[in-house]
Formats: sequence, structure tokens, C-alpha cells
Amino acid sequence: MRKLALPDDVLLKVEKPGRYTGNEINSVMKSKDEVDIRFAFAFPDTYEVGMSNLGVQILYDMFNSFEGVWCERVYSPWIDLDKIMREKNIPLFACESQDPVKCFDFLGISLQYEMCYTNVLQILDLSGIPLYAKYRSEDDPIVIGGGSCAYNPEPLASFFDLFYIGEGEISYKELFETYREAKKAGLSRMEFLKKAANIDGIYAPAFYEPEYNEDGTLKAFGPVTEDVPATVRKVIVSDFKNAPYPKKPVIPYVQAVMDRMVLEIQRGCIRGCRFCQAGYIYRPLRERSLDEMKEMVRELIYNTGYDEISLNSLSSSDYEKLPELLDYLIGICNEKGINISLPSLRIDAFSLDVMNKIQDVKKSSLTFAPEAGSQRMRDVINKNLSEESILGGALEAFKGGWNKVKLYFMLGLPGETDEDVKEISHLCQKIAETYYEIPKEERNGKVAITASTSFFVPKPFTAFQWAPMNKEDEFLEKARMLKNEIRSEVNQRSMSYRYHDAEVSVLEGVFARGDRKLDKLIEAAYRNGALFDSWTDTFNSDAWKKAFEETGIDPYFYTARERSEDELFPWDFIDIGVTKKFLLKEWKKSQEAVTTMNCREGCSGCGARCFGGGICFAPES
Amino acid sequence: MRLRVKFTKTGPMRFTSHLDIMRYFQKALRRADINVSLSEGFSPHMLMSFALPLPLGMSSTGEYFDVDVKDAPASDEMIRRLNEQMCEDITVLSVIKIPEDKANKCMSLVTGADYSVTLADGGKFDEEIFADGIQRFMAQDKIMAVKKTKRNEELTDIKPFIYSFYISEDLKTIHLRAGAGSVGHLRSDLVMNSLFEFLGLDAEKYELSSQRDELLSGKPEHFVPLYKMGEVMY
Repeated sequence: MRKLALPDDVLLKVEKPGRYTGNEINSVMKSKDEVDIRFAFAFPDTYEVGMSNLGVQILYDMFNSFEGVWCERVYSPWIDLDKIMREKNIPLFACESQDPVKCFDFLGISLQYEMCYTNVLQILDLSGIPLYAKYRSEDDPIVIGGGSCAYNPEPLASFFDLFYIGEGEISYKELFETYREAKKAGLSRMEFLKKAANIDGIYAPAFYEPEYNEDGTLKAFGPVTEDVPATVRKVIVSDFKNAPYPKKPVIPYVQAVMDRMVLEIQRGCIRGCRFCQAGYIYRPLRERSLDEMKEMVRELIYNTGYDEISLNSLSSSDYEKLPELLDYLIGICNEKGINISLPSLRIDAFSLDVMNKIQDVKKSSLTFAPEAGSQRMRDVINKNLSEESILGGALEAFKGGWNKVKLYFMLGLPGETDEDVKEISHLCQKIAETYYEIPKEERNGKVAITASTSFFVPKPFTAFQWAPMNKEDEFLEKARMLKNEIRSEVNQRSMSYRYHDAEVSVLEGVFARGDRKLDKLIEAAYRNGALFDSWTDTFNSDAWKKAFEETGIDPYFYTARERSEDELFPWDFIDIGVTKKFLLKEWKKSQEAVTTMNCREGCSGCGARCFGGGICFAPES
Repeated sequence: MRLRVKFTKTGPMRFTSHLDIMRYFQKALRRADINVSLSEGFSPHMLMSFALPLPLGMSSTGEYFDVDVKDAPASDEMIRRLNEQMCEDITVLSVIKIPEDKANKCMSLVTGADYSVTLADGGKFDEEIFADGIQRFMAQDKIMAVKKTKRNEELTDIKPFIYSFYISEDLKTIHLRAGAGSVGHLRSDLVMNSLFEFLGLDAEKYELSSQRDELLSGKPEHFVPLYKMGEVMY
């Protein structure tokens, strides 16, 4: 029987102890004497959130398929256990073996959103690994970060030995081989890191240094030693049609946020929405083959026992063989009593028809994401969605029996005027009117329209990476204005409005386009008690305010400042395929509200063609 | 048809909650390709009923759930298929076919439970203190203890619900048979704490591990374990 890292009395004191005991169905046990590389794969958030991440499942499966490698999982202990571990000096451990993280060869940390950065420090701290990479000894694990936040790794650079830029399927095998050889040759930690820095997609921050101008902007950035590359190009799976996929994902006992099978139908997106980082960094669009997926679905059902399946992609409606795929899914799922959930679908006649088929008589609410209220603003962000098609989709849905609509918008988009903000309200009103155009006897009661706004955060590697971000009071003023406007609409009683917190958005903005100077800020906030910053209940505003004071860092330098066209960015040394020149062209087009066609309509020459695969090489349609 | 499944829950699985165990078995039944009946309605679900939830942290060799199926293979085959899908700390022990009447739901059937309490290190209880102590404890007219319910705390006589309480000959195990279910439910730790208090011992000093061995139905004098309330399928 496995011995647990936590004694019974501790497990009985904490919330959901099943988070920490491992041994889940399809989790992998190996003998530690039979492997020479132990990889602790950490997700810096709760177990339930981390278990829902598809990337972790894909890499966990792949690493464990490698001879001599044992990959185990680590999650952030919740605040109750965090406190006990500090009091009792219990080191952080991995779910499978329950061994301390410190005895592993690698500690990989998944970086999916900026507000997990204090949890990164928690994981290092509880593991007993020095926070700053420069203080680590030969015995400490190699700490490597990956995921979408690794595309601007600089705010975290001081805390990591390596970053992996791109899709994990490509370079880990070589990294592990390099590690084995280095160990055999008796190389030091730094000698290994330098070798690693020469593997495609790997960035070793210790060998690069920034230089700053007096105003704090970046003057120069580059290697401080000759034998590492000046730029790091992302690595991606070019032949995605038959890319490996975890056929036996780990199935948690404690209910995960995503308690279902996930079918990744494609990677990347053809749309090119100018605010969307995922739309640029995951280019080009690559689709999985239909036959491969039919096989995958059958295996997943058999291996997991889940009663729900969900399609995963940035824009499912753009998958070319979606009708065929859905036909197949509906067939097999009806037979087995499995639900199908379809996020990120465009609302049109086709998708409504599909939803009618899979949802039977239950009509849950429909979600639209117009992102902006006015057509001008939707053109600025290149959303390529007309008011006509929004209202057309709504009418179809209402005729089909739906009466609840959720709408997602952003406030604070570049160049937004008061009129643009109010247009959000007017769009909701038009949707309400669309509902009441339907003869009364065909309506399904009253209509309920929920508008939600988030505050726009400019991200690196997007057309808006030059854009100034609104300050907190500007955000809140816009939210108030919108609220008043909604309250003055004729059908205001059918509408409700909610908006996200502005303070967290500003912090996200600081880190999204941050530089290496922010390490002190993250450390200070962590020391002041900030942890689980993405959770409303645990967000500690005072800890952050104090951290800004202590470090003298001005958040608005990172958020509210408009960057000049020739400014050197901390993330410019990373090559995502899409060129800075193309992004700048998009930034300028956005200021004139000129749209750009999507990748299927034609190539705009973004640069992603260099990866030799995907939509860039699709036959002209 | 309705089946009753008996299973164990030991080791680290002791820390998995009742609700999570329900979800675990729903998935396991699907993986084992058992032809489970689904409810009618908007969100079809399996028709399952679990007997008395086990306190978190306690192990058990006598857990139960009932499930409605469209058809089922022989009991042996069913046990084999389910056990192929179990984690190392859960084992299916028996599957029987039970009558489908309402009175036979395992949730409402339970009236008693057997527990065994051991020292966590596997050692012996002190003979002088415990062998005689338990006898004296049970010889009392009344055993008053504070019973906590969701709503209040109440000082009650728990003796009527202790059906047997003794220490094994090898002195390693204390056996308790107590009331369980909707009426006269008695937690084993409450009985143990009362014993320690009666003996003037500091319960904190003893590291105990307790296990639920069996769930029982019927009147105390004619208790029947739940796995005997149906028939084996051949």
C-alpha cells in the first residue's frame, strides 16, 4: 500500500482531502528504481482546476510513455493545507508517489494565466526550492515553465531555470536526452542549462539580460554568452492530423471543474481577432482528421466512463468536417446515454439544429460573444460579426424555443468612445425587440438577456500589444455608464448586466506585458500573503497594494502607457511565426476600423507559414 | 432488475467523500459496460441508491449500493468485470439480485453496523485495562453521552443501541455492533470516546483505526447482513 505524505489527522482537518491522496483511475505508478528521470508536473491552482487542463493530461500521458521517465502531478495545496504544511514543515509532494518535489529531477509548472504567479512561488517555497533560480544548488530540480504565459516569460524569469515556448509534444524528448547525457558526463547545472538553451523552443533566462532606458523601457535584450541563440522560436506540432492524444486520461475522484471527456478537434484559429492572444500564438490552424477522432471517441468512452463529452477548440464552428463529426457523436452518444456539450459555436441555423438534436427538449441559455456593441468597434477588433447575423441568430434561436441569451462584451477596447459603450446596451435592446417580433402565441414566455462585460487587457503578440489599457476608475465609469444606459432601455426589465472586477484586470495587465523588473513585485505580494489571486474569495487586495508601495513599481507604466511603434518589447526575442511587422499592420488597420480576412478566405501573410503545416498549406478553396 | 453490490473502501480511498464514491461507481459501471437503466426525463441518470454514508477517514469492508440494470451477467462475471475497473483500495465483494419493491432500498434497510477498532500500529490493547474495562462499561445501567445531530447536541443514553461490545481473544481488536441508519444511529467514535472517558484514559494518546465491517438489517436479535437479502445470479 502507498504511504501518504500527509498523516490521517491532517487529511481529516482539510477540505476535500481526496485532492492530495492520488491513486486516481489511469494515473501512472512506476518504480522509482526503474526510472532515471522523475518529472513533477505542477499546476499552480487547485486540484479541481488543474485536473481540468487538457495540456497537462496530454503531456502526462506522453512523458509516461517515455522509457525511463516517470511524470507525476502536483497541485497547489488549498489555503487550509498550505497553513498546516508551513506550521508542521511538511514538504510539498507529488500525488502519485507522495514523494517530496525536491527529490525530483524536473519541476514543470504550467502557466495558463497571469493571476497564478504567486502560486508559482508557493509551489517552489513549499517544496523547499529557492525562489530565485540563481540561488539553486546542484541538487535542486530543474524548474521549467510552459503554457500560454510562457510567451512572455520575463516577469517570472528570475524564478525559472528554463521556459518551454510552444507545444509540449515537440522538444521534451530531446531535453530529457540532454539531461541524461549531462548527468552521465558529470556536467554542472549551468552547463546543462546552456545545452538545453540550444534545444528548439527552450529559453534559459540565466543567459540573457535586459538593458533599460532611463524611462524604464527596454533598451536592449539578448544573450550574455556566445553559445545560445538570440531568438527563441516556438515549436508546434505541424502534422496535427494524427498527433498523439491521451486515450486514458487521469480520472479524478474529487469532481473536477471539467468533469467530462474532452475531444481536441483542432489547434489554432483562422479568425485573427485583434485582442486574442490565443488566436495569434497558436497559429496556424491545424485540424485533426475525422477518422482519428472517431477512434478517439470510442476509446475515451471505454476508458473513462464519463457521461459527457465536450469539443475543445478556439472556434468549433470553423472545423471543416463539423457536421460529419457531430453526426457520428450524436449516434454513439445517444446509444450510450452520453451528453454532448458544444462550447465556442457560432449561433447560426446549423448550430441551432445541432443543439436541437442533442438537447432534446431542454433549452438552456444560448451564449453569444459579440465582444463589442457597435459595428465600428467589432471592425476595430476584427471580430467579423455583423449586427445582422447576431440578430438573425437570435431570431432563429427564439423561434426554436430558446428564451435566455447570454452576451459577452469587453469594455476598454482601444479607441472606444462613450457611444461605443452605449451601443452594447442598444444591441441588447434590439435583441429583445427581435424576441417580441415573434407572434405572442409562438413565444416561450419572457425573454431574459444577460450582458456580461470583462475589462480589456492588452496581451503580447496581439495587434493590441501597443495599446494603452484603461485605468481602474475609467473601467468602472464605463461600467456605470453602461448600466445606466441599460436601465433606460424600453425592455430594460428583460435585461441584466454584470461586470468583472477591475482591480484584478489591472494586475493581469501589469503581468501580461511585464518585464523582468516585476520579480520583486511578485515576491513582495507573495510575502504579504497573496495567494490564489484568481479566486474572488482569496484575492488579497491589500497584499498587492503594499507590494506596489514596497517595490516602488508603477502599475500604469505597464498598463496605461501607449507604446510607440518602435518600442522594444520584453517578449520580442520570442518568435511565434507571426511577425511584429504583421501585428503592427493590424494595429494600424484597427485604428481605421479596417478588417482583415480570415485564413480560410485567403492568406494575409502573417508569417505562421514558416511552420510548414496547417491551413497555410491547405488547397485553395 | 435491481442489483446490490457490496464493496470495500480502504487505504487512501478512505479520504474520498461519499458523493465522489457515487460518481466513481457511475463511471466504473460504464467502463465495465454494464447495461445500467437510466431515469426518464430531461437529464437521464443512473438509478442508484447507496447505503449509509461512511464517515470520512474510516475504512470499510462492507459498503453497499443498489443499482437498476436492464440485464446483467452472472454474479461471478459481474464481480470480475467490475473489479477490472477498480482502483487498488476498492474491491467488489459480491453482486446479488434483489427484489425491486420500494421497501428494499438499501438506504432505508440499514438498522445496524459492525465495527472493529484496532491500534494503528497493529499492537495489543492492554489486557488489564480493556478486557475488564469494557465489561464494566457495559455493566452500567445507563451510558450517557452527548449525541450531536445537525441541529443540536443532546445528552442521551446510548446503551440501548450498543448491541455488543467486546475485545478479541488476541487483544488486538475491539468489536462493536451498534445501531445505524435513520433510527438509533450511533457513531463508533462516540462509543469509543465514552469508553475512554469511563476508563479515565486520554483518548488522544491512543492512535486508533476503525473500520466498518458490515451493514445489517432487521431487528437486533435477527440481524441480516445486506448481502444476504437477495440471490446470487448463476
